[in-house]
Amino acid sequence: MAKVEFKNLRVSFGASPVITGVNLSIPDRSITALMGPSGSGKSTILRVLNRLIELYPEARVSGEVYLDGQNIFDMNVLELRRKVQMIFQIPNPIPNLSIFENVALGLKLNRLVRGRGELFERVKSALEKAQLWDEVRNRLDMPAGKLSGGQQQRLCVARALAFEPEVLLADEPTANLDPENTAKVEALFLELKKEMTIVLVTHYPPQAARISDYAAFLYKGQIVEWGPTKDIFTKPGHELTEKYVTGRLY
Amino acid sequence: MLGFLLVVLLIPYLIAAYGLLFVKLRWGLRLFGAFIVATIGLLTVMFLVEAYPIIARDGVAVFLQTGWDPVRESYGVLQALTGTVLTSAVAMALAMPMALGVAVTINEILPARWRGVFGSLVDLTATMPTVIYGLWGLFVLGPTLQSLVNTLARDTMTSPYTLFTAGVLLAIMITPYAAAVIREGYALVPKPVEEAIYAVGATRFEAALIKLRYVRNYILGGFFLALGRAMGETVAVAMVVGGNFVRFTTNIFESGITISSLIALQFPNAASYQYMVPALFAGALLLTLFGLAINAVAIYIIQRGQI
Ligand SMILES: Nc1ncnc2c1ncn2[C@@H]1O[C@H](COP(=O)(O)OP(=O)(O)OP(=O)(O)O)[C@@H](O)[C@H]1O
Ligand SMILES: [Mg+2]
Repeated sequence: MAKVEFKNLRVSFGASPVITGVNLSIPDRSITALMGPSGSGKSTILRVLNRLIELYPEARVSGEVYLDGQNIFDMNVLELRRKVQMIFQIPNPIPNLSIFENVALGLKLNRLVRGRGELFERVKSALEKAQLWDEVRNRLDMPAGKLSGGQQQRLCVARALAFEPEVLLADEPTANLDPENTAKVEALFLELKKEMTIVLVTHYPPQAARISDYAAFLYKGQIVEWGPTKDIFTKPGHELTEKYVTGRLY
Repeated sequence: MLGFLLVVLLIPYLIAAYGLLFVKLRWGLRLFGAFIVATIGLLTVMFLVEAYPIIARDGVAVFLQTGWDPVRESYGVLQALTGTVLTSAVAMALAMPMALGVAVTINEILPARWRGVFGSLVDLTATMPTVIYGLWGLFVLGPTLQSLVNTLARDTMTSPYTLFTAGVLLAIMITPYAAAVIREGYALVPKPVEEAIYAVGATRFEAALIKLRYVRNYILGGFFLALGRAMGETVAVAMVVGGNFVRFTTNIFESGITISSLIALQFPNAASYQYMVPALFAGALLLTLFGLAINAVAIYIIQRGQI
């Protein structure tokens, strides 16, 4: 059954349409890769799913999005964001808060833990999953803004994982990582998909081929094609898709 | 003489300028901070020279004693310093929460299209002549506060014109200054950081608090800007503080005086006395040293908090 379902989603910023009728279902406990050239609307689709799009006063959204059959626009937005966590394209820790606070904040605000002990364990385990714990265990009180770019990226992975979300939106989560950490994050996602639904935005078709179960190709605000990753890569039904996955369309 | 008055009234503005520097880069802060400290240091020396006659006569007693008796040429400025401290404290205690509230309301709660209008309105109140505030304090605020306070606690305020009245009036006058600085910082919270705050499930109110923490150096900047204004305000305070420059009091519900208003009220006839001008300079000196002490605290806070 589909965990997430987009029905005729349209988004425009001011007068310019950005998403022009997207229909897509995202199966539960799997990795769905969202591919497409720069500016095709990938990040925008993710922002709709956790309703961060509402922070943009100029954005107009229409159509429906369902999470477990429930229209997300009818849901309590805090509940939605507890269930749908996001790793952003550009690492965005809250720089003045400590490393620990960055991961703990959401848990505290949403009262997801009881007591300091449990909080610490949740934060630690999230940092471990994000492959950051060993590097920061001795300086959890340091402002997050002082971490390197790749460390900030992993901190944001930890922040999202701390929620133990149902849906994880990952917007190019390995863009700032070296091959070694990239491999670790990819392995992590393969592990995580047993417990959650992952939407992985990637610029890089080989990554989608490596770890995704389903793939969707987005072009100029529309889904050109989507289906099992194997099919998309081996027998694309559309010339644009073929060009994209073979690296001839950017 | 008029030049002197202008220079004295400049000090709080220097302190205020110092507040604004909190929002600048570190090296800039150091550089301008050093410049301002140097300027204040220079003024200190100048005031010391001018105040010398009374210091030579009374020693440090002029700073530590109270009373203002031109006939016997006996002057003390302690009551004025106390007045400055008390009115500023009342003003800051009221103004900072109001400024934070105004900043959050305008930037976070009002719909985006009303932000500009309300922001400009608040900024506009900062440009109103202080004498207008003084008159309003004289005819409206003073009597209102008196009846309000006396309703809560009988016979607390025997006059409408007290240190408390001055403090409340000052709070109203300086709130827009602090709010403007806080709002300026608030607008600088990067969009990605704002998204992070909401993505982890913050409510609007929680997001506002987290953002305020992010812009805490602007809050500190707003604090010092407002404090400088409060300490330096002359006309409006002189109109509502009660003009009691004789008797020492620490009761904010009694009439009092501040250093700035003492200078403003006594300067016109100071030249007729031998020691009054030096005594006023002693007051200016005290205000300056006080300002320096505040700056020292500020520097300590910056360095400790690594702002
Ligand atoms: N706040 C905004 N105001 C106006 N236009 C916007 C805004 N945000 C995004 N857009 C536009 O919407 C389109 C889609 O943007 P989006 O960020 O979703 O693309 P993307 O597929 O994530 O691209 P990339 O791979 O470069 O991250 C772009 O043309 C972009 O310029
Ligand atoms: Mg993007």
